[in-house]
Amino acid sequence: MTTKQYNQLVDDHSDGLYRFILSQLRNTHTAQDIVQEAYARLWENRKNVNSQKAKSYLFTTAYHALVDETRKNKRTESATAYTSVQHQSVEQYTDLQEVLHHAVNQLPDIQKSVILLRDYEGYSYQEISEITKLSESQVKVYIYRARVFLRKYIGSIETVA
Amino acid sequence: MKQPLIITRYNYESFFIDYLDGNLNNKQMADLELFLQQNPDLAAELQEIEAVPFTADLPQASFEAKALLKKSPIDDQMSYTDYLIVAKTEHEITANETRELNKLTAKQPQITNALAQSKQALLAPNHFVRFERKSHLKKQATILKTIWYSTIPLAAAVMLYVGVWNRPLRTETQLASIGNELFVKPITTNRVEEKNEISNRKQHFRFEASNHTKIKHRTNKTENKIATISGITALKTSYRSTSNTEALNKISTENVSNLTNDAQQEAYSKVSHKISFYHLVQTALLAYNKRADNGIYLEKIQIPNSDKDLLVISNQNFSFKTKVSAKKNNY
Repeated sequence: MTTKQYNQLVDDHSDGLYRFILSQLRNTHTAQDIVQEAYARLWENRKNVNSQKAKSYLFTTAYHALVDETRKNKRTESATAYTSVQHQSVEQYTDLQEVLHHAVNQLPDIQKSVILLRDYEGYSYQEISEITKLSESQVKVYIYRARVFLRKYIGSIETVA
Repeated sequence: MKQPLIITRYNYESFFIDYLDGNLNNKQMADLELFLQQNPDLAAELQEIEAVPFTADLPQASFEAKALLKKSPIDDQMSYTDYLIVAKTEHEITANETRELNKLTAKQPQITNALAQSKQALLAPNHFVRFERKSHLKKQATILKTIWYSTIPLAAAVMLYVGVWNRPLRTETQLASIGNELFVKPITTNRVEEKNEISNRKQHFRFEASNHTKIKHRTNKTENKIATISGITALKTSYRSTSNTEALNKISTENVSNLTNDAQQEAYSKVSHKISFYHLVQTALLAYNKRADNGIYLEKIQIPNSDKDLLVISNQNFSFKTKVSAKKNNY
């Protein structure tokens, strides 16, 4: 991979990668650090990484850093803070996408990751499977479950409204 | 179904069902006919049951029932209807499944809403959220880096050429070299006016040095590079004007003051001793290297059986070589 190709990858994918991480961590500094670390590793391994596979490499690196960070956070996260997130009212959201992102945050972590990779980046089941190291059938199941949950979530809000 | 031997008013229903399903044998049929003759009210009931057109609705009712009972082929925790809706949203649905979904939708209008909601439930990224540190991630192209890093040695090299061949010869400065280092001997001139001139220059640089503390300390590497280049240029101008005190006063104070403090201190002291231009550049580069930690080296290599030496200015990306006269060892 040339320096020019690497710089192009920064332009093309750093925003998407950042959004993917930030949607799950909700901590801008940590999300930025993870993105920077992913690109740093890509640069270190630029001789071994094909530019066609570089996007996948970035998301794979960032995803595993995210998993580590999430585990670390869960160990330190207080029960109070967790409860406050769970009980956040949906009435404050006016936009459907905001409602959906509130719903996404209630999904199990793995479902959250696969559905974001699917919808944000348009990855196929196979690509998501390579990034997350899950089987394709597992990826499909998680995506289907997440879709059912999200549909029923907005359905329930419409019913209440 | 295994039937009792005798039909009575208490067990006739199972005989009726088997009759309607065509499961009675000849003897049972004969028994049933006899029973109906003896019980005309039940014969009328059987006729009513037979008159109901089960066959018309049976297939659809059966299909709905099956659809409700079926499980998702990928996940047994998911209903078949949910599976079909997601498969449709994911564009994964097969032709058979599409037909089944259409039939279900026809019978259960709420599935149409569910399909619409499923499409609405696709997540979209917020494009206003952007990664702001892109410039931190980007790398300079190697060719540009080489050109940039080579700017200083190139400039120094150009100045060396000018300094070596265009400056007046200075017989009063004696330089001796050991290895790659040059050592400066004290000035040993008997000419009074030359001494006065040198004295004036020293005073000038002392004055400049007193202003050093007022100069804002620059730590930025890029600024250091530019400052070093402009500083070297200014010092070189002053150096070449040794025979003209007035010209010395025309040096742009701003250019000199841009030089980093260390570089100024060292370069001034060396210039005031009228060292070679080679040593001046070397001093400035060494001072710059201390600041920027970016190794640029100046070496002098003796060429065997030649009256010329080789000057090499290099860093990790760049190397510039030039031959200079070694006759008087005064470059």
